[in-house]
Amino acid sequence: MDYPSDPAEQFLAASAALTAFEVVELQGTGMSESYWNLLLGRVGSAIAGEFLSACGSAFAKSRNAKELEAALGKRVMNDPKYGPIAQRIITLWYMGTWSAMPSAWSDTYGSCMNDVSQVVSPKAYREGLVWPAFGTHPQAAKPMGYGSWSYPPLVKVNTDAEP
Amino acid sequence: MMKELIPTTEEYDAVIVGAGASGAIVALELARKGKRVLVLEAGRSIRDDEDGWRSVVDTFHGALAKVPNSPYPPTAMAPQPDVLQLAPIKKGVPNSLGYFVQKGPQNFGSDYTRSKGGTTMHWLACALRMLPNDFRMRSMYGVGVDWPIGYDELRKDYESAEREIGVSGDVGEYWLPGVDPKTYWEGYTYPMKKMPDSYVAKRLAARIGDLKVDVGGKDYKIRVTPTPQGRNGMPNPDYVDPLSGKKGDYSPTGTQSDPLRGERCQGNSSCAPICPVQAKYSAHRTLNRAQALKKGPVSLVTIECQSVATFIQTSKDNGRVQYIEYMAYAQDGAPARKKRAKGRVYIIAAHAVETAKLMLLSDIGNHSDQLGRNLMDHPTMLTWGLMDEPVWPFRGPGQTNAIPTFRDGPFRSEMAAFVLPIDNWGWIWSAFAPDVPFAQLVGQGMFGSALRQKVAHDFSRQVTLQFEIEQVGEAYNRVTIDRNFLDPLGVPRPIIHYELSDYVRRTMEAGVRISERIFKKAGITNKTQYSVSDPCHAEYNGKVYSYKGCGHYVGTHRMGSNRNNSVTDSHLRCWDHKNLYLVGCGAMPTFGTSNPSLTMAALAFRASRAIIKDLDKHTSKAL
Ligand SMILES: Cc1cc2nc3c(=O)[nH]c(=O)nc-3n(C[C@H](O)[C@H](O)[C@H](O)COP(=O)(O)OP(=O)(O)OC[C@H]3O[C@@H](n4cnc5c(N)ncnc54)[C@H](O)[C@@H]3O)c2cc1C
Ligand code: SF4
Repeated sequence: MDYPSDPAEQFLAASAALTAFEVVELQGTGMSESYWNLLLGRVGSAIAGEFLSACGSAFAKSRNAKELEAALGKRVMNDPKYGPIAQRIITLWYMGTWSAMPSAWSDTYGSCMNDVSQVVSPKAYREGLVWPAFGTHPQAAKPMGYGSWSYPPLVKVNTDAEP
Repeated sequence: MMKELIPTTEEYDAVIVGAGASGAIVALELARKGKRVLVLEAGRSIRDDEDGWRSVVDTFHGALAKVPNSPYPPTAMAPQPDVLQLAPIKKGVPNSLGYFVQKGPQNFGSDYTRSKGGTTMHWLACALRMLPNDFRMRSMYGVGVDWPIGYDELRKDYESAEREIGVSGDVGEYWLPGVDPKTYWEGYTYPMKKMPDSYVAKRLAARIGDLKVDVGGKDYKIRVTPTPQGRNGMPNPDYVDPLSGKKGDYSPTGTQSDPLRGERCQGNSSCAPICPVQAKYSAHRTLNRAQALKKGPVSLVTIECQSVATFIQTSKDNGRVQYIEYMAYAQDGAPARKKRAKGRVYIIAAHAVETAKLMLLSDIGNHSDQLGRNLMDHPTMLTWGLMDEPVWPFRGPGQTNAIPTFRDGPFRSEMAAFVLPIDNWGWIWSAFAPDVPFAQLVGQGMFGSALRQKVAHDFSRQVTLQFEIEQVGEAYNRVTIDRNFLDPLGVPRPIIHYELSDYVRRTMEAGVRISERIFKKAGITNKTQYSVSDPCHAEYNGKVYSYKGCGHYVGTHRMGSNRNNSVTDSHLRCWDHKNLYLVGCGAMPTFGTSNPSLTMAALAFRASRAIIKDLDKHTSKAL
């Protein structure tokens, strides 16, 4: 599968595969630049580059989305170095939150002073994708209107099949 | 930290300590009669214009652990308890990590807010009246105490409170156990129509059907009923305004800066701790109304924030209060100035814990030895699970409906009554959803489409039932002070002694059984987990039950029929100090299963009448 050459775009392509949201949906949050910069700050550009290369090799080996997930599982999620980074990227997009790296990871690969768990910004919270993923809106933002809560959400969410 | 004493030369008709709902209502009522009022408020003055409110909402959005006090960080000079400060109490080792010193054996699991507007800043705004039997627990069931007044004496004040708070409800649909709607309501309608039922409550009611559950040898039908709430909805054309006597012209109060904003709840789903559009009542509304009342160009009500009352000075001769000493601070950490406030009458409305604390450290008003005692809450046991169909939680007010079946019944002589709100925010309270369940899925290695599908499937099916359990006053549940534990201003911190009685624990045991029956009938797979490592838990018959604090601090300066059994009379006037009133939930001798603040507000109206009478009777300075 195609993988862009620009690192910031690679970050978006990898994020889309890891979260199962489309690149345009991620761009629509307005958060991509700040998340990419945050990642560079937290793990350093060298490790971030390696991480994106690992994702790139999964893209290169795959012909469709299904194969891509399988390859990402093997090469990224299960990798002791890249897995924790991928989990943090997923959490950024879904929750707007950065979780501090696990101490075992930091012992091996090093830490930085600002590696603390935090909501990235009030806007990051508001753009969390967890909410639309189950048919709602972030608490205290983007309200759905008086009485909307009395009926199923208008935007259809597939909840039928357990994965 | 302390500078010279600066006496305040000005003298007011009334000095009120605390700019929460109870203090605000008294200020408004007094100003309506032309009285001059000074309100001392310990915390900051959060602005309720667009920018001020926005900053509070942003603080909430940016908070990692979203708890009731997240939008309202305390000042060091007026600290406040926070649920994040809860930690297991080991035998003999109190938890003093936070503002409270929790002596146990159980944790008191609730917080409150010390800012202008008080705890209504983050209350949920459920506005239930008490049931007639809640006022006569001793004579009906042989537990607790009777109030010196009954429901009938409070009915009109309930109406005033519902007008001031702005309550949405439906008398016709509202079912209450053991209540005759004719005498309970006397033809009343709420100012606004009920909030639309949440989808989860509708599905639960449909699935429960005609389920009956046995308690104490009697079968009870599980009913679902709407919850009256202080949230702006559709004005009710049949409503008759008790102030103007006019029918059908009720108009909801919006935000201060834009009256058209917040006129209607929009479903921001965050009422506790913050309604971004101020569709939920907070005491700011009442304070704004009070400050708008003027004599000439001058407002009758002055509010001084960042002013912590530290001592009530009384006369040795006649017990009357002479002045209130307080510390005014410009900024956190800057030296505070000691000042005095003088009035003809004094009202302490600083919250059940802080009012008791201020009285205790002034060493007054405690002839009955009841001051600080009988501290109650609604310990809330949660049960949670996943329904077999999506119920789409996290949309709309925190709750719109509850199961009121067990609010009254003969079982109350043996075990506590309870009400079961149907949580509209999934597992937010039971399991810190969505954050913690999401972190668990990611921690298990889920990603991509499997993760997204799992979130959609599970989170849309989350259901939580809340067992809000009645407590009755126990002498050993109390607030005390100890000068070894001081806050940064040098004021003693509250010491909390708290233990759940078997009266409550029996209900926890029965509650789990009732929950199992409801879950089975409604197609809910139980996911409830209790653990001894939960900071709030109790054991009964070898089993562990966890609970949460409900924010309902009640009983610490209870009213009663005489000075030997209570701190104040039924007008909230101190038996021992004739120009001193103690207003707030602390006044309530019992409170059944109703969230306490509507009754608190009704009592504030009642007390205001007595205060005005006092002021008018004694036109001379010496009241
Ligand atoms: C999460 C949560 C949800 C709740 N939901 C509901 C609900 O749905 N329904 C309901 O009925 N109740 C609810 N409550 C309870 C409700 O918020 C309180 O009962 C109510 O706000 C108490 O009002 P008050 O005026 O007595 O005290 P407060 O609102 O606490 O006001 C007291 C004021 O006094 C000030 N003060 C304190 N000490 C001093 C001092 N020494 N000098 C000067 N000022 C001082 C404080 O800063 C504060 O502003 C909830 C509580 C919590 C925590
Ligand atoms: S549901 Fe939203 S708009 Fe309605 S009162 Fe609660 S926070 Fe405000």
